Amino acid sequence: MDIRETLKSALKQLTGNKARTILTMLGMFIGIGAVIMILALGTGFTKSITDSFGEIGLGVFQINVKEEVSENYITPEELEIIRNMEAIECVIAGNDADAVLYNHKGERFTCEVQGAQPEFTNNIAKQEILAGRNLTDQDEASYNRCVLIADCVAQALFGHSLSYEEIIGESINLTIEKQPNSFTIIGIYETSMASNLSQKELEKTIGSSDFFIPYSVLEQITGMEGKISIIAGKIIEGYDQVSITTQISQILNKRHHLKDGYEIQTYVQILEMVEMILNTITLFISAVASISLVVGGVGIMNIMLVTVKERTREIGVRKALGAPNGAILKQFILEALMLTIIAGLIGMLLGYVGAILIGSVMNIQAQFTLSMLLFSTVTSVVIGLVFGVYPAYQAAQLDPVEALRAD
Amino acid sequence: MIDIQKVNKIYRNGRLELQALFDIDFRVEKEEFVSIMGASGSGKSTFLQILGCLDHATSGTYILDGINISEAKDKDFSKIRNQKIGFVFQSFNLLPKLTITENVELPMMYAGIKPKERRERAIDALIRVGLGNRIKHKPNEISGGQRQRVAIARALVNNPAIILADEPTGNLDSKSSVEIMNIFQGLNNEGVTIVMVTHEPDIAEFTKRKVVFRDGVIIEDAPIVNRRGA
Repeated sequence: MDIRETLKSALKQLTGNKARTILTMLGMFIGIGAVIMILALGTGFTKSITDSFGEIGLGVFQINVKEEVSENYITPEELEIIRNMEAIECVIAGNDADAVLYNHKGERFTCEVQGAQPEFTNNIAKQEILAGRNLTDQDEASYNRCVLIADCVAQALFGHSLSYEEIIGESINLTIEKQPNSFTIIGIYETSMASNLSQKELEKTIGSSDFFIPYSVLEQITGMEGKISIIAGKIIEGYDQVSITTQISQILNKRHHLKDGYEIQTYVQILEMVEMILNTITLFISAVASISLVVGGVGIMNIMLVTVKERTREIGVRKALGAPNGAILKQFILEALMLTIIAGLIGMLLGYVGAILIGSVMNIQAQFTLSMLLFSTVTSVVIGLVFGVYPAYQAAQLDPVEALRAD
Repeated sequence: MIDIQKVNKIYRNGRLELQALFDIDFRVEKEEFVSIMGASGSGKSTFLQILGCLDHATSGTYILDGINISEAKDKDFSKIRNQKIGFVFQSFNLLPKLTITENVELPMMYAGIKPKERRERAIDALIRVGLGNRIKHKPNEISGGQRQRVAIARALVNNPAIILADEPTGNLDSKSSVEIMNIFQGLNNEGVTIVMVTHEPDIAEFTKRKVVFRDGVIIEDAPIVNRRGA
């Protein structure tokens, strides 16, 4: 009896009692579906984070002064020391400040101004310029009151009446530290948020988008000349980010006689943290799912034992007609395997649909990989074998005389 | 064809021992048609199970078509049943989910015969028992007599050395019974060796020889004098 025919007869058995087959598979649907769903969402979430950091680049780091008192601020001299380190590609001073902005209707918005030296928007956190130009050393040196705004902010402030090119050269008024200042818009950078948003939604982006102005200008307005509270930089590829940033913070702590006065943020750290959280969640869901899979597997064993009992006479007939024990064993193992593999496929489909649905609610693009397919197939096969062998063995060992006597 | 000498069968259940057969000697030649009779508990069913290689004798020798069955191993039994023996049961024992053609194909499937040849031989066997126009039916779509004919086709299809029938007319009305016995007679005339268990004397009269069991021994073994049928 070859495999194809055994499969055909197994399929006939399973479709012969649909309700029972589906109920039996339920535990596996849930188990495999849940694992696929969490893996797809987790992978999607990690990818979205990786992508958003990917734009910035791998070697990027940021160091903040923890307690903003005058003796703790980083000095321009120290910035120069860091800049001259072998592993540093570039480093800049930066600062941020809250600002108030009025649109042409006189509506008030709060926003955040980023004062950054030009290498920030040109390299470290490189911005794609849609219109106009990026910040330059010239702007920095000449205290040019200019601003780089996001495309969504441009739309929120000027609507569709002006094109991006026409917006360049317009000025906006940003009130920083209660001082109103007029800034000329020199460039518009790209975000992923500009398309298909309503005016209301666009206006919300004003509060969450960065307004990049020259660091020197912000320093001047806030009166913080020479007192750097944030530095951002990029480490040359191949150097170890953790050891370089630790080295930098040691230098700073030593010079300011502090124990731990500076907070370091690197891409690697953030990614590691996200991955750790995701792994914990995945582990938890997998543990729950594996309980469901074991319960599902026991259910499959149970139904296979019932099937063997019900079909005792059939087994007796097959044996009388010359079926060797091996053929009976094979037949029932294949039936169990078919049950679990079909259950696995449906579970995978449920997980797929679930991940897409939940992903769309949570704004995560679910990601599906080949290893997930592999996982559910292998799990299905293993469960089919583990829980199918015992009933099949029982069937194979039946005494033909006894089996033929069964009702 | 069959040569049985001093066969005993003892059932052991814990400390309980029950001897079902005592020193049975029994021979069947080629092209014989034998009926085995006896009351229930006489040992005739046990004897048929041993003949059919469904069970081992406790002692004695059994040679079937030149094979020493008493020395065969359990795993050889399935092959012997498949190649040498064709079973016909009282309750037909067709598999309800398969068509009658697929039912007839089963023994050939376990013999490893290719699907195309199997199909052809199954249909030939069904034609031989007069069911050539029913090949696509399921067992529950035909009458009891027709089901038993399917079972006979299935028993024949691997060209066994012997057909063993266990009360083949037990579930049939008298008209179907006669039909089935006529088929057996026809097959026997074509050279098929048949051993049949029955408890109905008038059915036994269709055969050529009658063997009667009582309390585990053969008490009568004689040719049928007034044979019924063809």
